[in-house]
Amino acid sequence: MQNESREDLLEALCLMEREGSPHPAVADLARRISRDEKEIRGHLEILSEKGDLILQGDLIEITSQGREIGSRIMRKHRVLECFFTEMLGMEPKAASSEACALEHGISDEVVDRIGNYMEGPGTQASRRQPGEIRRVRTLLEFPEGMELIVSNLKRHKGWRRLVDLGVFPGQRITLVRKLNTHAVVIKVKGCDIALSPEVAEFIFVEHAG
Amino acid sequence: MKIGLIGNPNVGKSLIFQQLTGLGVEVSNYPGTTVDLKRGNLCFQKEKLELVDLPGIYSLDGDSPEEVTVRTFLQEGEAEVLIAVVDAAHLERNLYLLVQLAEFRKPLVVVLNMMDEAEAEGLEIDVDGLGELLSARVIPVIAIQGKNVEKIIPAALDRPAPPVLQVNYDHHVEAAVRSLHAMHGSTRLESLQALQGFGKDEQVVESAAVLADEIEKVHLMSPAQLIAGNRHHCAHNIAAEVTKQRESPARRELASFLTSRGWGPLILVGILLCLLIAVFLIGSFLEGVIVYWFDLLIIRPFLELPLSPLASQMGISLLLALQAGLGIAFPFILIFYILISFLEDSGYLTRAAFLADAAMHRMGMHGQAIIPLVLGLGCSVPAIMSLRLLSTRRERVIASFLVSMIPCSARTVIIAGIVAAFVGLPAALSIYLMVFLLVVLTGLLLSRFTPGDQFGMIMELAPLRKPRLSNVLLKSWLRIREFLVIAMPLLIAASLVLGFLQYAGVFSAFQAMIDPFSTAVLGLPGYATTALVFGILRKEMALETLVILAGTADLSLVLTPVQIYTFALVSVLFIPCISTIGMLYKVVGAKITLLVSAYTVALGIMSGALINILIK
Repeated sequence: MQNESREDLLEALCLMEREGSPHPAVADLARRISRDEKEIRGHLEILSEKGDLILQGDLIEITSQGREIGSRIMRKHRVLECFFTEMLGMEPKAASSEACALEHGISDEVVDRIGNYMEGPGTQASRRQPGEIRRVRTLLEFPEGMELIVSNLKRHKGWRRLVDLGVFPGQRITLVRKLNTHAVVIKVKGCDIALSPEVAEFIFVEHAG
Repeated sequence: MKIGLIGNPNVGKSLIFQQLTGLGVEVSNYPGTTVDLKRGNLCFQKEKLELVDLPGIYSLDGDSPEEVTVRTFLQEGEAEVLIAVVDAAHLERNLYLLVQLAEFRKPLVVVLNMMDEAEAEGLEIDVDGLGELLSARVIPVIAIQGKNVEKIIPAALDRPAPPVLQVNYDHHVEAAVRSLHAMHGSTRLESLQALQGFGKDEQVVESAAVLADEIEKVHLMSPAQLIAGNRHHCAHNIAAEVTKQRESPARRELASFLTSRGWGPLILVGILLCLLIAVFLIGSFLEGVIVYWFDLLIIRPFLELPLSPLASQMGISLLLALQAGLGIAFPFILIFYILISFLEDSGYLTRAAFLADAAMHRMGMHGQAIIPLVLGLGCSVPAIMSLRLLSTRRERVIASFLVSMIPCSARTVIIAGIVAAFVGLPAALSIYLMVFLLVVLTGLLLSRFTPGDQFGMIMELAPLRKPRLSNVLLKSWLRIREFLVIAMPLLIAASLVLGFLQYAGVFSAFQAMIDPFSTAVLGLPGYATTALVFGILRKEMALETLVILAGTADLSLVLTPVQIYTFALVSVLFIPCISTIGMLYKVVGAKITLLVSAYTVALGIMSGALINILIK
């Protein structure tokens, strides 16, 4: 049995455990990774001998040794996928299959370095979970009285004035007032600023704290 | 020696200017009232100083007309010393501008104004500490009480040093600044400006654009954004180091109530209605008194003088113009401006603009446009002057149409003087209703066809403050002065021309010529249309002209109610008066002025004709 298959199996088991099935059936695992049940059973028996998991009839229980290997692969997959989509602009599907291929050959050190690189200024890519497309929310999607943090600004004509008033990424603001018409008042650095809906629409924010 | 006064909007800059120079200058409460540089002279220890009040700005790197004006002023090296006015209650935001200002390396004195408001908010500011961090003299001031204001000029004359404060920019930005210096020998300030895409030297801007692209690729943020972020950070650190929050500030219930979803619009409508009713009641009372005494003391004695017919005609034209100016400018416009200035100084006007934003939006403008529209109820001339505070040409063009159509106090006099008197109050109100309906329709129409982008409102809400009577009166006086200086001379000249035309018999010739058209289309006798046409020269006198031409003050004897109604409606909509046309030309140019005039004439004639056809 190749090392690659071992890692794939343990990764899948780790994921299933996270999703709430700590003792999956062999058939479930086979379905998940689209492989033949009989072929898998053979592999699982070898892994059980290595101490990565315990086979109890039809049910599988992952051991801490197996969990360690599985989660390391999971992390590699996540970092790589993130790197491909966020930094290289690849499609999420293609990024995922590339990550599947590379996750077995790449060293821990390189993955760490990629992770650190992505945590640099201006990128929040590394915070994301794999497969999850983080939905950016504009100021208008939050109710009155919310404490928010500006995450991004779209470039438009009023952009410069907003930045000069203190509305720039990372700044904490309060949504003081939101009329039915979606005209809003925000408090930035102790000053109340009134914005038209089409300006508020350009300000992307996140929950504060 | 020349001294520049610089600061954010609403920091009491104009008040300090006024206290230093003794010359009246407006206290601005919405961004942009002081677009022009205001200059004043003062003498200190036998040295003559010129103080320049620069418009309130948020940044020195922006592209708004005010920001460009101030930047140019600083870079042309006009002022030898700068006085930066800073709002102590909003120190961090104000320091952002100061951090930028420090980069201009000009001798600087910092005035920390509104110490009382900072105190009320529970803020304790280490003034000396701030001075050390900025390496500049900092003077704590309460301008509204005149406290410490006298220390400003001596400090400015005391050869202050340029501040040495330097922002630490992102290392890519710093590297770009260094390479621009190496390539072109440009200063730090020039390089920073060039990285943000502007500057005098095109070569520097070109090289900077390449570097800026690289920086943007690395950071996914433009250099302008990075630079602004670093400056905010610097301002934040300084503010945090010198400010102590003693207690949590009291919540501002009133401010929140005024813009609340349910009450806000109701309060706005209520305030505007009260404003109009007060202006109308007090104004018409004062008008009656002034006109009575003017008549008794000046016009009657003048008519008894033995003069040649021409001299008598010209003399009476002059007097009538003066009477109209004083009878209308003083009562209606003064009361109106006192109340508006009161609202402005209290900080309510910016809240009104916020609440009106959605409604104004439909008409292709933004909240701020409510200010010229409301001012237009007083007199169109200052209203059109205030169009300058709208940020785009598109908005200015739309608003110039609408302001010209809003019934000013002169037109209110016509509505009240003949329709309410001879036809009835409901009819008078229906004219208002129709005009406002047409204003809204015109707005809806123009918002579709006026070229240009719509640019959203970004407006700081002025803090709610108790207005000072002296400031309110001073500001009202300044606005009235604008009316007197610009509108009055035109009014008098127009009246003299009108008098001469009347003397030369042009009226009757015109009357004979226009009569067929007038009767056929508007259902009005020729003399009424003559009064309308010459009403352009003195709109507030259209009524008087009509009375003179009709030969009787009791118009119900010569005109039917429908004719009176038509006359009033047409004259309200008809082309704005000559002073308004002059002002329009100054603010929006010849083409738009012509369009506004043509549109209002067409609208007036069409509505008149429609009423004539429908009712007759």
